[in-house]
Amino acid sequence: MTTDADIATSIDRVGPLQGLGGMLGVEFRVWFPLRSVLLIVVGLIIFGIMYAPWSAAPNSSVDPGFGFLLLGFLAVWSTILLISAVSLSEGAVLGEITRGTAGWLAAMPIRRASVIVAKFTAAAIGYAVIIFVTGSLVYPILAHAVDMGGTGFRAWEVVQVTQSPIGMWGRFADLPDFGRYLAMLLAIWATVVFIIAVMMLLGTLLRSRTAVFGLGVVLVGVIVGSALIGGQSVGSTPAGAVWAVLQTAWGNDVALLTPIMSTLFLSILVLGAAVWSFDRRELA
Amino acid sequence: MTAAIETRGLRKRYRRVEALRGIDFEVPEGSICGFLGPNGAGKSTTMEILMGLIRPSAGWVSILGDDLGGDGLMTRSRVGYLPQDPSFFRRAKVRGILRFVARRYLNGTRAALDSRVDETLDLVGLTDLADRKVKALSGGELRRLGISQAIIGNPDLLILDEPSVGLDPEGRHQVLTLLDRLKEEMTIFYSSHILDDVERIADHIVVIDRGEIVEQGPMDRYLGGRGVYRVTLEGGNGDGVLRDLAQEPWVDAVTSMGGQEWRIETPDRAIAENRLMPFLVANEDARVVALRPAYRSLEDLYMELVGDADDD
Repeated sequence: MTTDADIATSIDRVGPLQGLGGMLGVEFRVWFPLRSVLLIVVGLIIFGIMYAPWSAAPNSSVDPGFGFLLLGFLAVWSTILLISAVSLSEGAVLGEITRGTAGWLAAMPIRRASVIVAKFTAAAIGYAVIIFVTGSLVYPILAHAVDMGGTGFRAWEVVQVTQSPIGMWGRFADLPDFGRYLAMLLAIWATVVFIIAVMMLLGTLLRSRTAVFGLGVVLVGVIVGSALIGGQSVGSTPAGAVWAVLQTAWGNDVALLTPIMSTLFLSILVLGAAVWSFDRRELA
Repeated sequence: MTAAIETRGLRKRYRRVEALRGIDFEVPEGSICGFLGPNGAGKSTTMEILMGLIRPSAGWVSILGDDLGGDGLMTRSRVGYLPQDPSFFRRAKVRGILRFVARRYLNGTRAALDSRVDETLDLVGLTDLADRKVKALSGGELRRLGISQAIIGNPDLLILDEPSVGLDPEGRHQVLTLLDRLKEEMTIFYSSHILDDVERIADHIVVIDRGEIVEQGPMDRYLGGRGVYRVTLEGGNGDGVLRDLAQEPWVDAVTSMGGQEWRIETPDRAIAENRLMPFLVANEDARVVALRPAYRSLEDLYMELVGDADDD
């Protein structure tokens, strides 16, 4: 016998983010099994494992007391993450538009804002997992390398195995405690999230994925470049967040919370602009 | 009669090209309306405006009684749409796509939604392909998936852009049969280049050419006398055969056209096809040399309206 519970009925109301749940489900299925994501995670861990002993190894220019390990690691690591964010999100919106799936979704009772918010949320959560999981795994390796830099002897054994051509031998600055290290990761994540928001906005504005990718790379260059040469003047910007991370890795005591919060706030603003722009984009 | 779709002064300009030049048309509720026109006439543009995918440069649109000036989300929940080139998540399976769409249009338990998915798969003949990935589907299968996702939400209005393009004859027949069945439940507005198909199932037509509506109305207005044929007989007693034919209760009139040619009128095309031909072939007094329709077909009408444009 058929009961009311067995019959599907038409929806009778729509919410402000109608379809968000369904879109999130789709985006998570797209994100997490993605080979590129796994590649980034594995790549980052291997980089951490290789980089630590490589930096800790002695070479001819012995410079005891040079605290370089965490700084070098995070500078390279965050650049890789920012470039990967550009690469993974360049087609998130524009790819859907050119393939026609954006039009298919928009013809359904799904708010366009839900499409953008779902893509952003899935990418932000995906990168949170990548950054905090791999970052946490790398922390003890870095700590161990700091110890090795202190003695130098065991680091030399490692370099024999890895055949690294260059190495540093020195007394590294102490690693920050794990809580502050997590705050540094949070700052990197906030910058990645900002990049993703910008990529979403570019995807709604432009018609060429190459242009979106190119502008994304330029943006990463500007952020990292400003962080390296801009000093304190970059302030509460995404570049300021990267600068604060590098300063902390150097051993300086700078505020991390302000650039993190301002970068996340900026990301929300950019995301709002992306939603507004996508709402007006023709999806023929 | 209430209009399921109504447009007034609808315009769309793409830089230098004016795709729609202020079109007014109506699709009556409960009708199955064929939307005809040559390539580039503005059919897809019109449908994309109706679905809110692109914005009109000017004009007004009403769908199912709702002005599309707002976000139209609640209205879209009552409309199923098949675009000209349907595109879905390529890595998803057919069943997954239909589940996703069903959840957007329908409330219900998982079992209820799955039941609706199964029912729709069966309706379009995709049950065997339910677990196949979208990227592995052929063009015809993809189009059937497109039709199934358009109807799964039990819409009040179905908008289909070229539903039978790319289908083999069997697939085309299935689509026509399906539309014929669905017209009892919903208004159907569909574009097609296959005029025979439109003539077979549509009861209303809208013809667009170069961004302007050139004709619209009930099919019967244009294609009256669909049971009228001309027959040419040779040898024997042709007059006698036609006299006998005129006595049949299903024949309205038999008129001599001069020589060996006669005009035969029956109430409709089905009677003419089912009874007239067997009657003439069965007679032994005269041989049938030619039998052809004497009514105006949709193709005749179409060529009169837009024939020049197609030649461009």
